[in-house]
Amino acid sequence: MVTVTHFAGRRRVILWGVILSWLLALSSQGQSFSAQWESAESVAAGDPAVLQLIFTDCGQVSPPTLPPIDNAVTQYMGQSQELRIINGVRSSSIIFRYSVTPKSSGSVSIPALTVTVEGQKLTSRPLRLQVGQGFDSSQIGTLSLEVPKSDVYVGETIPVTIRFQFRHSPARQEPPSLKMDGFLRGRQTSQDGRSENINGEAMGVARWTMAVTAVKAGDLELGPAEFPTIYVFQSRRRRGGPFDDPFFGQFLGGNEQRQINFQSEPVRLHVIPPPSAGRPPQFNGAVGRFRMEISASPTNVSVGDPITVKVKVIGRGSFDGLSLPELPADSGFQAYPGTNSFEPSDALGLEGVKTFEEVLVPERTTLRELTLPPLAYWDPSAKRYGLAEARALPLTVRPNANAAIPGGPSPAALSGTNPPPSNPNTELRPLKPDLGRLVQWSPPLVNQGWYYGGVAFPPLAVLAFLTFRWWQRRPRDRSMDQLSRRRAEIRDGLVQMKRFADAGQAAACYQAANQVLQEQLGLLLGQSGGAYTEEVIETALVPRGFDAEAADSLRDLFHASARARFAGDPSAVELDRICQAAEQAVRELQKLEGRS
Amino acid sequence: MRALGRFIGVCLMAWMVCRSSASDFQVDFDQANRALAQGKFADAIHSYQGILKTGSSASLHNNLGLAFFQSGQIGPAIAQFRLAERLAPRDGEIKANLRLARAKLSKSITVDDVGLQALSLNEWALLPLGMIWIAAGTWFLSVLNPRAGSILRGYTWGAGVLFIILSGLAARAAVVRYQEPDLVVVRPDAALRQSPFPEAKSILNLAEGAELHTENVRAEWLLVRDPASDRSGWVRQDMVVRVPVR
Repeated sequence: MVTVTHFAGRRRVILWGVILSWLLALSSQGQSFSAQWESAESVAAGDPAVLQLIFTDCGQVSPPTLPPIDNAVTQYMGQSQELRIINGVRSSSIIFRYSVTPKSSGSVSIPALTVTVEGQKLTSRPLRLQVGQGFDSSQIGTLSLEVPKSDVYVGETIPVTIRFQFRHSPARQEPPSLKMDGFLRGRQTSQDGRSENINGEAMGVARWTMAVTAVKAGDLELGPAEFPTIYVFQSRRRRGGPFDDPFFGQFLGGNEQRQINFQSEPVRLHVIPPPSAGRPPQFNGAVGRFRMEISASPTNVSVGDPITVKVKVIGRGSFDGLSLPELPADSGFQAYPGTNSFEPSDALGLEGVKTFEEVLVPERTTLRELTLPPLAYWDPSAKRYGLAEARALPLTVRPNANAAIPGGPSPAALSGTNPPPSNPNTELRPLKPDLGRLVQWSPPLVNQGWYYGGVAFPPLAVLAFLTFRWWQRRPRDRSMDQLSRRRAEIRDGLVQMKRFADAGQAAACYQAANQVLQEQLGLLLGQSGGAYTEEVIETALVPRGFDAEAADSLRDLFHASARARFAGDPSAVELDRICQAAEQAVRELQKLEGRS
Repeated sequence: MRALGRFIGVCLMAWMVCRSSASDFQVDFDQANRALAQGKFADAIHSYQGILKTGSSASLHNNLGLAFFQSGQIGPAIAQFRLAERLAPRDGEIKANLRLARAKLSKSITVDDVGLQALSLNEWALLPLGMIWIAAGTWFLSVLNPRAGSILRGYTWGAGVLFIILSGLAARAAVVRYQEPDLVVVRPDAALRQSPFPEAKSILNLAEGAELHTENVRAEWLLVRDPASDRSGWVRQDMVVRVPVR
């Protein structure tokens, strides 16, 4: 048992030893730092190579700064991370990439780089990059700066031209840039490439011209100018391949793009301030050659009335910072800040007219003219100071009748009765003195419902009135129509009765006479006729005041009618008598109807 | 009767309050005019705008326009002159100021139917309204008094014919008014944008003083059409001043 126990104890020791050694193997991966080229170790001049700085198992590190490298331009490109597990051994690397662009053929040497990681110094081995004959951009084009002179004054504006002379035009390009410390850029013009004969060779020339103003004194460097372009070339392919033929080149993508950044040489300028000797006291930095014109309106004013003064500064020079000298404190005018504008005569704005518009308010009546202080300027071409003077403008300043209000406008100005302006089309009309009635903006009447109600109401009222009247009359008319129709029937019946009597048609005559009588009785008694007998005389007519003689006559007519119906054909005389009796009875009944 | 007396009393009091407040503002207006005459444009503008919070008048807008004009703000000046012209369409001085401000921006506006511009749209609208009431009134009188009917009937017919003519003219005046640009750009940094958002792409930079047509409104943005370029886009409301039809 003892032996077994001993063996088990040894086996446990061995197992622990294996585990510890494996852990030690894992932890023994030390920190390392190396440098290497990412691709080939030889490139053409102008082509970038990529340098990798690799930190293995170093934890967090920041990108090292490369020392200046001879014959090359370096630029940091970025970092990446790599994790490897080989045979169970894990390692992590951080890789920093730098582009190294050789300037010329020969070689580029990267010295041994030493970095400190967590207190430990790590050193890489030195590297060398073989640089072959590269791409010569001067065979394609050159960039240069053209400056008219090398000595300029502070505040002087000069035209500076960036000139690109080329044999082949780029496929794409960006506008050129110009480094200009101590200078201000103004307006710019550009001229696309045009062909020029240079040393017997036809070359394209493009120009960008800009106005540049020196703002500080000293020996200043203007430039370099840079012009980024992209050119497309037919690619160089390996010789001897099966597709090394121009025919296949057409189909196998035989073109490559190359970015070429043309750079000019800088120009050194000697910038000096205008001399202090002979400097006029009014000088405020104007550089160039100028003259001044002045106009004002109105020129016949009261004290306190504003005068708009327009000053034009015409000439050549630096207009950007140009300002008018201030009026002296005792000028008698109160000046208020105005506006200014510039109208250039050339594309660069080196020549033109700058117009200042200011408001001056005369403060006393003794003012007879308006005189502005002269504009002093330094003329760099004549190398002397000059004065631009404007003529004095005659003024009439009247006392202000509104003197109770200090500084108040003249009553004329307030009442709008100023003398008429000299040119009514170019001068503002005077202030309106009366505020008038204050109103609120509201939608126009045509957008308000009540307006249309107001328009529609009168015709609707007329229509309603006419409808009402028609409606009111309508029933009365109907009854009147009925009455007149029955009267017409009675008239027609009498006519027919006579006609039948003349024709000797006794039966028809008696029937017509009876119908007429019945109809008239119906009208009188307010009923439809047709069924009245002799009794109606006593029961209805006499009580209504029917005349006794007429009643007898009507009674005879009823008897005669009855007799005639049963007694055969009557004589013509008898028929005539019946007709007359019927007519008489109708007349009497109508009289009674009218009375009732 | 007592109710009628009370109503008249309230009306009189309201009238007196209105009169006193108007005279108060006249004092402010005089002060603003003095500031403007002395060249204190900012003070004058501030004072005029203070009165504008209470109400508008042609004189107020005209003088505010003058203050803007003399301080070099031509866009706001055009807007104020146009507002003044809306309130007083027959005022030649306001028209001259507006013409001058537009000329300052090398702008000229073709005015359609100059005769129709002599009256405000409200005045045009009131003319046919008056005529139809006269026509209906004389007709009723002729019905009530048949003896005067033959004379009154002539007035009825005359007013009726005038109503038709004036209605046509008022409709034409309304069309002309609503075809006029109703917005004036008052900021130099105004731009027409593709959509109503500040970061939307700018279609067109609008010149200060440009006059535009409103086509739609969405919150603080207006869909407008620039008649000069015939392009539509969105512009923020604070970049423009609206000139309402009146």
